[in-house]
Amino acid sequence: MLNWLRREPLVHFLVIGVMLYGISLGLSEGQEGAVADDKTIDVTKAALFSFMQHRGNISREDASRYWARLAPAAQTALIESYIEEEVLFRTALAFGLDQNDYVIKRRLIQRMEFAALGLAGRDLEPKPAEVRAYFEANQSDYIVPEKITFSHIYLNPARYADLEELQSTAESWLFELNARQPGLADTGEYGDRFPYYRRYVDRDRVFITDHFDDGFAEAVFTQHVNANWQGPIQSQHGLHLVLIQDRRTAELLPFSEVRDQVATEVRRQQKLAASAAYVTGLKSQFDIRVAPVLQP
Amino acid sequence: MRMKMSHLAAIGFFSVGCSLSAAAEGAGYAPQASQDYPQNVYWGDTHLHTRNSADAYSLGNENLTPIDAYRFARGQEILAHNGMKVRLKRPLDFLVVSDHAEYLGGYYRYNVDDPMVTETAAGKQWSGYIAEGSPEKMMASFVDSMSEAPTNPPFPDATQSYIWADVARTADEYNVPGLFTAFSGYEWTSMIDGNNLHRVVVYRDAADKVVQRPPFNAQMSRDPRDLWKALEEYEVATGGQVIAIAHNGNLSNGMMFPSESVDGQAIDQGYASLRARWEPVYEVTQVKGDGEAHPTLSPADEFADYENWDADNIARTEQKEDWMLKHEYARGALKLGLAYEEALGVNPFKFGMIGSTDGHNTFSTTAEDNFFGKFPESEPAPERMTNAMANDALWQNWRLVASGYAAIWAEENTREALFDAMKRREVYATTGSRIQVRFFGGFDYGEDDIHKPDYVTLGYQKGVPMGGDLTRDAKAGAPTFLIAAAKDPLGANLDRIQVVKGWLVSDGTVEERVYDVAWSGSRKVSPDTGKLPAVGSTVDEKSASYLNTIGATSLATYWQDPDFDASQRAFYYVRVLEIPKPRWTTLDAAYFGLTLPDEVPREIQDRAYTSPIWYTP
Repeated sequence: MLNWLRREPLVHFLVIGVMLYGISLGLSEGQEGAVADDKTIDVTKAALFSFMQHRGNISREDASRYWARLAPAAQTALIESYIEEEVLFRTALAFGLDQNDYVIKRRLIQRMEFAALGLAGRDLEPKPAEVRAYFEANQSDYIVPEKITFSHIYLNPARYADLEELQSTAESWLFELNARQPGLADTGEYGDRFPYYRRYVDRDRVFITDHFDDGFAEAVFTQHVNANWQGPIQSQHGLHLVLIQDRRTAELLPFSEVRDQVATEVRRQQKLAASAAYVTGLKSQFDIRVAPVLQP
Repeated sequence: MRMKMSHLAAIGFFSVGCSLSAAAEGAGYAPQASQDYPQNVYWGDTHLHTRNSADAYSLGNENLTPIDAYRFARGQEILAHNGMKVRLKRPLDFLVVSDHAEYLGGYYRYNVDDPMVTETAAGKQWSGYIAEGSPEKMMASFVDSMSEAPTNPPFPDATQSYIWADVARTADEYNVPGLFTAFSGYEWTSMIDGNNLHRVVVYRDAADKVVQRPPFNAQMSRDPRDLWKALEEYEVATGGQVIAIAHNGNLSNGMMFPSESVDGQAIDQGYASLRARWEPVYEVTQVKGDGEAHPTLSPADEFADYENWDADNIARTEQKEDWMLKHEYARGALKLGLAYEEALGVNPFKFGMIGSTDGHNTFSTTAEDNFFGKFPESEPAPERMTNAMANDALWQNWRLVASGYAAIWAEENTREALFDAMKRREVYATTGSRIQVRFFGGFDYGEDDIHKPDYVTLGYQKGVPMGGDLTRDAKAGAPTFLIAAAKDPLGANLDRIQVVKGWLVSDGTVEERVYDVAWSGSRKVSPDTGKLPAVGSTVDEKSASYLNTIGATSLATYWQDPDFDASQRAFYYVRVLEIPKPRWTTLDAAYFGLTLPDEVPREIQDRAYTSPIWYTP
């Protein structure tokens, strides 16, 4: 098991760990941690404090105070630590490991994306008005499709001598059922075993189409709720008498019912948008040239 | 009409008319039940990983989160690692995001410098590895977490709780009673000597309870008994409910359904009681192999040789030996369970069966015609026919099984109803199709009952559903069963229904037999072999298509055990077979224009396995 873990691309973690640090310096501290030239390392106060700030997750002021309180040996150790990281980072860059390896590129990008979320979308909590506005603008996402609740009595053609007997049985049962008006539990003697359900509760058209077929779904979804049995309706399975107990047209859920869900979605989208905006901002700082041959 | 799969496109776009929306808690989602038994089968996956799992993250799932898992399961479109836009034709009804508990969420958070991870002892140790030029040690720390004496410290409680709270609250946010159930869950990743003992832990509860205890991980203990103890502590402390679901016995080298506990003690009544209590269902089929039956254990069962992964253990450190098999496969374990119940008074292996995917790329795809692989490396691409799992270190990816579903009979689609159904084992597994199966056992069914339109009502009134128990009825004869199966409405016809019986003989041995009880067409059981002929095949390999011109859209039967001995403990479960379809690899070959290697099977007969009904004298 260990063997596969030792394989590439894991080795790149070396580079990544170090490079991520460099990136984070560059991100929030402008040029302070940037590379002046390939072979010079300037340990400036600004660079060191920035290093401390990120290492310790502390503020710039705290870094300054912390430094002042350190014993000389500790100060030297801290500088050494900074130099070590910087050397590794520079070496990695010198190897060009940031240039060509797609895996590293992906990880660096991920780090940037995370940073972007943190910078642009920190503690995002959508405002009530934003949630409401999103709901208004995306109502189609909060529509419950039309749904139906019905029971059916199924006549399996294989169990009847011919179509005529099938049809006449269905019609005589229909008459009998509507004359007798038995409770649902007392209809067990009518009809045949259906492969799927006898009773469908709050199901949408897709579900009914799957279990019956398009024609049947269209038929029941255009019937009205009725205390009487209706039909017979044909499907790929045979004939059906149906008792439609509830049918609801597609309805927009009230905002009060879906507020939390909408907020969840707004939060998700705002984070993505913040991140995208950050990247757009970065793009504007580059001169981007697409080869003419690539342009549509 | 030829059932030509549009395959990769098939998963593409199929408008369901409207995206999911929801009713508020408690408002109008309860079906207006006229009968108080489960009338709906719900389809889902209890085992799926995201980038929060260390191995998933290491192997390229860097971006997909539990939110993406829920959105995908609910029918939203997600961008896959291979660049394809993916959307399920039929959304799932429920999902358990079950990321590995060991360093849960940790690799991602380390990699993006989350101080809650980088500042832990583990995080600092990882930084040390990187500084010393041994980054592989960080990645190995996930495997190290399962070792006898881990050298990497676990995350402190504060870090675990911080990440776990995020996981549990996300599940709550995407849980919409009546429409989509999102369970909180995780995977306890115990491995001993390279042998798989993994369990998925599933909660019935909302985050307010779930967050009170972080996941139990292999760093705390690799002994299942300690996991059960932790589950008990959770229930006592919170008033919540939780279960554990084991999987991949096929990669446990005899340890999944063992004769002794991990410290070498023979299985005793205490072990048996706890296992029966905490592990009511078993994940019998998934991407790393099907675990219902094995041909070596069941030489008379011509369908036992099905997508078995039987070369070695999960770390690939030890070859399989024949003695291990009965401790790995569900049928073998159900048989062992009868003997244990006789000896101990408790059956440790009294489990129902479900399937799930164990996908690590966040896509819950179960079917031949929508299979998106396990890791990003096995997402649809020509290479997945020849590459191997985990950067070519583990099994060939063509072996991956497009499997499976957890099917749950319940009154409504809520955490409570689905969880309770799992506890009473009214569940079944399929290897990827939405085959509907009813299975009832009792002593009073009549031959005509199965033809009645309300056979389900009779099933419940006069007997027990799948997962239930029958006890000796002195007046009655052999138990009777009502069994009905219907094809996946969008899938292949059915070949046959079988009953698998296991029983304990007085000399202590356990026997098994597979009965063909209903089948399509006019086939006759051969008097010479006692076998029903094969259904045939309409698969056209070149076009990767098949025809529903053979098989049946539904099958049903009344069946009475012809070999019943009232003094013998027994179990009965149902296996339903579809007609042959092109295997996902055949679809890949047609789509990408590849030549299939000789060793890759061309066809597959997807199937369903119900939870058993047990008979106790």
